[in-house]
Amino acid sequence: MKTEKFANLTIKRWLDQFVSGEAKAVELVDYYLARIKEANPRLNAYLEVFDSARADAAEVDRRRAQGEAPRALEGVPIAVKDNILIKGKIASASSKILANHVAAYDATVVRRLRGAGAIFLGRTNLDEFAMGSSTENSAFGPTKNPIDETRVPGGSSGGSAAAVAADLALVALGSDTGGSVRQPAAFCGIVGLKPTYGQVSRSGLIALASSLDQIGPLTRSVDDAARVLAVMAGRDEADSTTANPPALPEDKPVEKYRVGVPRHFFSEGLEPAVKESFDQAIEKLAATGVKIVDIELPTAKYALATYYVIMPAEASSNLARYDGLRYGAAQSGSELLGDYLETRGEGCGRETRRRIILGTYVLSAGYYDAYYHRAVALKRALADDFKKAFTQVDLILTPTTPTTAFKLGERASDPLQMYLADLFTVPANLTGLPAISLPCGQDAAGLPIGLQLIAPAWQENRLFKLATHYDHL
Amino acid sequence: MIEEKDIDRLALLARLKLDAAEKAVLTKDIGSILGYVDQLAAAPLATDLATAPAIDPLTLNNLRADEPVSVAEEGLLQTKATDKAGYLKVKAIFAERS
Repeated sequence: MKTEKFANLTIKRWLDQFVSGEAKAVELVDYYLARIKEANPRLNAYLEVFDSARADAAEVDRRRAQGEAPRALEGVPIAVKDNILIKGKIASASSKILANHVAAYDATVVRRLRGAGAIFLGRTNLDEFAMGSSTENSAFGPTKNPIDETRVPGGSSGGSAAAVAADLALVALGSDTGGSVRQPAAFCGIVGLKPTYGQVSRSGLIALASSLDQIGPLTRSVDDAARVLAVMAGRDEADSTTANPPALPEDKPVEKYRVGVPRHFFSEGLEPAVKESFDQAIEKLAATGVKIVDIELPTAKYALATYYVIMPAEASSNLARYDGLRYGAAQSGSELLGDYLETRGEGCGRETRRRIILGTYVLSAGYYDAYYHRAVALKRALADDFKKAFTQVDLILTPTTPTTAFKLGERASDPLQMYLADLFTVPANLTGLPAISLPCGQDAAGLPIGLQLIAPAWQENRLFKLATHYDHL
Repeated sequence: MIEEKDIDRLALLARLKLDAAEKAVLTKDIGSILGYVDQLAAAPLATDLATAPAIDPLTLNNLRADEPVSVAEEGLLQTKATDKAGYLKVKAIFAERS
């Protein structure tokens, strides 16, 4: 079988091959299965590869043989972050406490993707309950960065990012609470999208921080991200925060965009190579007529601190359900309280325990006003900053991360250092705005650098337009 | 300044059993994270905290019609090994004192 035709495929190229009869879905699945078998023992991107993938591909080929019209993602093999439920498959969230938890229903995104012809290849590794920026917090071992296996792939969707970057899947799903799609996309040199809050249903996503969580695609091209989003997006009765996008006025041509750059926000702690790549990207865009404007986001400097109050507060509440009674593993203590203490102490990993304790602290009597309530007010102030900025500009640009991928173990014992990897990505979660990371260069060691675009709510189309424009420069 | 006895209390509230070594590490880690987060106290806020909305106005809340829906009960119960005839088996909440 000639497999070169499948190397680093995009959805469009795949559909062209499939529709023309040049390739079959089973061949494509076999291509990925062979690659996973070869590379996954080193990378640990997948926690499980589904036996069902080949049969699902055969079904896609059967439909084609019967002359049925191809659907939007016909035969597209997708890797799924292991905090998104697929009925009948384990959904572990990379936690010991859910290691044998079998999903009782499909996540809405899974149902929609399957309805569009997608094939699920397997479930990918993550930081436990999506808490982390390196995928080192998985109960099932870290994932390695395919570009340099001594380094982290980013996180928490590190398994999904590594799978796409190493060509072990055509696209992958991740979830983004503070940057968990965009940061690993940047570290692995691919595209990662966090949609507008409310654009994509979280029904069937194992919740981390519900006011911030969004599901998003990790892909090799901007067009792929747009295609996957189009299938997943829209109102879902099972997630009351979802809505259909409002009607938008006609957008201007990309060359007429005004793009805001909040330099005051990201000047500190930026690696020189990241700064250089970012500046070059800005220059390239400016040369095509895009107007670059300096903007101020006065509250942005408090975004990470705000995030590290709201996220653990919500996480400590969301994770209270893992008590050994209703889900997952259970340990027995001397009485009911002992059951809880043993089950949760044993089943939750170190970072999860840390964030539960932190969340319990910021919500406790006497500290609630100083931390949680204040953080919620700052979240609002940050949203106002962005709203004001978007009266002057069409999009906002920042680097995705302050540094390139760091070494495995380098930040494991310093949680604050680890949290700083989310510095530029958390504002989009706190404000609910859509944001995309796309590759914009490499450092001297060949490690990828990401460029982040942020748009007004529901205007993913602007992200796609400017990102595509940039890609063609 | 957070102390180990605070971690003890938080761990009990959060229903987490922690060993002595981890308590020491957590006291240091949480102290350092709170040290960073404390900058929020200095952040200027245009809105008075007392009048700031308790519910985040960014969060949509489009509720569905209030009608019963199937929740795939069988599948959900199968996720627990301790179910018996549709019930979850748990320890008694009250125990007799001897």
